[in-house]
Amino acid sequence: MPKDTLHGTLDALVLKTLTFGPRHGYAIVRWISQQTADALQVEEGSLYPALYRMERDGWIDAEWGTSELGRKAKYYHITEKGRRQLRAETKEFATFVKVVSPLLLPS
Amino acid sequence: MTARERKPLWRPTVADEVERELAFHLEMATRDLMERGMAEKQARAEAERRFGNVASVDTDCRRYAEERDQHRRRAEYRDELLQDIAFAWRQLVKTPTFAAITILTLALGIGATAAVFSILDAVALRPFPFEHPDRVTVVYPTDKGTPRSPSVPEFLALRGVRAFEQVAATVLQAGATLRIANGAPETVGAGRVTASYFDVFGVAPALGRSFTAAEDMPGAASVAVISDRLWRSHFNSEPSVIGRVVSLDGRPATIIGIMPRSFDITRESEDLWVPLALPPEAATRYSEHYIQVFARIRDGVTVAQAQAAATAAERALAEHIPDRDQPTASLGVVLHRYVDDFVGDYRTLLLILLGAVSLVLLIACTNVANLLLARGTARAKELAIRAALGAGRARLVRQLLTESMALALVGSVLGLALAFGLVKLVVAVSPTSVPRIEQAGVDWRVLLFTLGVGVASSIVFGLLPALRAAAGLTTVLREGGRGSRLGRDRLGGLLVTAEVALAITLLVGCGLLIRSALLIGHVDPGFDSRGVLTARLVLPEARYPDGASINRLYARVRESAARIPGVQATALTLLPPLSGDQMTSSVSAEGAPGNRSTLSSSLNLVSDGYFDAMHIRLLIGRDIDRHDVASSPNVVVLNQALARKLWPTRDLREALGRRINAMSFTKGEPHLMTVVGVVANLHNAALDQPPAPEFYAPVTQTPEKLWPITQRSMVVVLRAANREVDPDAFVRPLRDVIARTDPSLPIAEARSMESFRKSSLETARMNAILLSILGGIALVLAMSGIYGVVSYFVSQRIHEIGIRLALGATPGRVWGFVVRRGLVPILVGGAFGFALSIVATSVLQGQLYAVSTHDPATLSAVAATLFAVALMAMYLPARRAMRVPPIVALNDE
Repeated sequence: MPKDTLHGTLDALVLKTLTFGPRHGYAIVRWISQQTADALQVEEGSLYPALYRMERDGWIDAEWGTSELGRKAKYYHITEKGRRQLRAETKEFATFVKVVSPLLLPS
Repeated sequence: MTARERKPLWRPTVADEVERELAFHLEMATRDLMERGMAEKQARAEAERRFGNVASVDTDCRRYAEERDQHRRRAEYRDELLQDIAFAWRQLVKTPTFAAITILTLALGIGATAAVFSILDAVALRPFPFEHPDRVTVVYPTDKGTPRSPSVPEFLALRGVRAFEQVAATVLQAGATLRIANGAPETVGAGRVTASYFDVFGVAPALGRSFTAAEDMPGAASVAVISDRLWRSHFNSEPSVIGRVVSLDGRPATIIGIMPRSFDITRESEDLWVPLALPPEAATRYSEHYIQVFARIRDGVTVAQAQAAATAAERALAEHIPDRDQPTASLGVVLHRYVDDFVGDYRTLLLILLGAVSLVLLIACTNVANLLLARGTARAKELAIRAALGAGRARLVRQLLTESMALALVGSVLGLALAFGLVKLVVAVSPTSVPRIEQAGVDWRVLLFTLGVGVASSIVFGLLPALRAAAGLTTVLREGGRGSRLGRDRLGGLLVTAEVALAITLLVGCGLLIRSALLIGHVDPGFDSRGVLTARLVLPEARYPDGASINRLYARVRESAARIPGVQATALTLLPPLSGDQMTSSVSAEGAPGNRSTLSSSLNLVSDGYFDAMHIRLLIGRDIDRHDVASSPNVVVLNQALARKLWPTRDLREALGRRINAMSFTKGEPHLMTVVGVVANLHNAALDQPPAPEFYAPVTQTPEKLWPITQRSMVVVLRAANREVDPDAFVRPLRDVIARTDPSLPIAEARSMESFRKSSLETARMNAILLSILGGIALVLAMSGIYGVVSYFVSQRIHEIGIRLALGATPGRVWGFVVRRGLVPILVGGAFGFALSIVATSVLQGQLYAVSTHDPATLSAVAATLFAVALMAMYLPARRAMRVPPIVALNDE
């Protein structure tokens, strides 16, 4: 997989996760692994820079709230711009899969 | 959601934010692992292992977070700016009169400044379209420091100077007869130039090519390079014109090139160029000084070095001149930068104009500042409320400045429209010799300048009122919204002081220039220009090879022209006064020892009856008459200045009968002429220059060698019997006369003597017109400024005035109270203004004619005008004050 598509995939996964409601960083990791039955482990070290980058670019926004354990946590939610980005990346991913699968997958 | 609403109540710093978030993550991960049965210590280690390099993640996150915050701050600023602009717009729309007055005032100031800048830019600031324009020089040999025109041998010597990359010789501003196909012959401005001419400027033809060295030889086929102007006006911008054959001075010539438009430097520069084709024998014509030499200095050589090298060449040449009678040490060469020679004077003039409009702009800004100050007081309450609602002081100043900026920008746009018109006006009243002025327009440079001026002026006029308004905030609510009145009064007075000072400075400058323009207009030129027509003829060499044939033609033309109805007198002259062209010759009195008595004088060739036709006074002796012919003894008439210089005695009669040597073409072979008369001085070069020595020789006794130099050209002078008649009416009959005499001859240039006189006044006239306009604007602005402040004062004190009147003050006393109040800043401003003008007008020194910078008449006229204007401005508000009904005193505000 080309690097930027991988990169884009993490973004898309995070954005997708947030479409189901605001979450803090750890919850995003957990949600993704749950949804994929632990098959997909998000690299935690690259998640946070990705979150901050997307926040800078206005795809997601954050607020400080209180977590389930009574601790202050940063909750992310998706913005309108983020939704547009997600749509674009989903489409790109679909194209990628369509182009690559005949090559890599046995017919 | 706007940036402001998003601002959370609690917000950690960036470092804190990232640290907390990562710590939270690790804690959650540790907890999860412990829930799966791991011991705390292990769980923690495992969580950290999974996370990876915390420090590097932390760095990345911080960087993104900082960028995020920066974006947000910018967005916030932008939002606030948009709010301010919207608010400013609403404010302006709410007070349309205020907005209109302010914007018009600013438009006037900004527009005038932009117009002058546009012209200055076109004429002097933009680099000339040459390759390294600063290396293009005009070369003048000097004798005892006095520059003169070079000779061909000098040109040839200069060509060998290594400091020069290219050297060109030219005879510029010569007329040529152009005939396209079978059209009417007409005279165009032609330059006869060596092949190197265009290389000196580093400009190649836009189309076609320039001359080859072979074409610049006598006997070569005739070729011509034409200007863009001629190409447009006569050839419809057809590229196919290259290779076309036209008739030039009666001979076929092939057009080989078209120069770019940028090479049309002035409106009177050459229409076409032909090769100079110097004949080999010209190399020894040491005493024919009639060419102009241009040189391009080699890269890396300074002007001083080039000048030294040229001087050495000049002296080396002089050593080889046979019959040299002068020490070579007195000879030299000066190089003038072409650009300076061309625009030097105009640059000064335009900078002065720019200074004058800047003063007008400053006055306009002062006025607007005053208006804003008055409005700031009126709006004090609104501002105080906004401040109470949480707007910071800086925020309010920013908002007020945004309003000022909005005013200035609208004013700039309107000013630009005004600048368009003003540029047209200035171009229309400017002398035709101002280089590149018709290229002046409103381009992006002018646009940028105007915007810059607009923004700068909004700060000049906006900052003070804004700071003032913000500073007064706390007191306002306490005072029930009346604002700090005394502070405003003082500030308003200060602004009037500044305004009056600026206006006085400007008016003194304008007054001096206008007065000197008027004085030049009243200079007695020494001849009567009214009812006189001049028409120059240029005779082709092929048909008029010698003096005899030339004189025959002119005599016939004169004879027939004398029969034109309404013509009282006819004459011929080589150079009419004030025509801008001059020829000089060295002159010495016969028998005078050595070179000490050799001096330089203007020369003129005239026919009999010339002094009569021009109404030039004969002081003593006799006029040139029809018996002075080629075969009779040579005679000459001097002007008083020359006679005085040659024989510095009191009695002009001393001069009569003596002989002078001038127009001698060969060393050791004097051309002697007997002085038969002395005429009064006349302004031959320019009205603002003192009359120079001049002598008049009969055209019939012209030395044969002079004819080729003057292109066998003379000017026919016709004087109308009635001086009020427009002499242009003679152009048609004169054309008919010439067509009957020789149908191939065109009139090179027909101009009334009055038009020569007027064009000599052009610069002075332009000064007078433009400065009158600027002075007028300044006066109106000063008047409205004073009016504003005094009437504001009255409206603020109406209560007090009412009490005074109720307590028995007479209207006279009230008048005094108001006027005194208004006069103090005016008098102080006046004093400052006159002091300032002493410094400022020193830049005018070179521009003034017969007026000193401290001219008492001008200074007192300015003072009186300003005082009168100030009184007029105060009259209405003062009258309102006198008529305040005492009942006002009882009403509360």
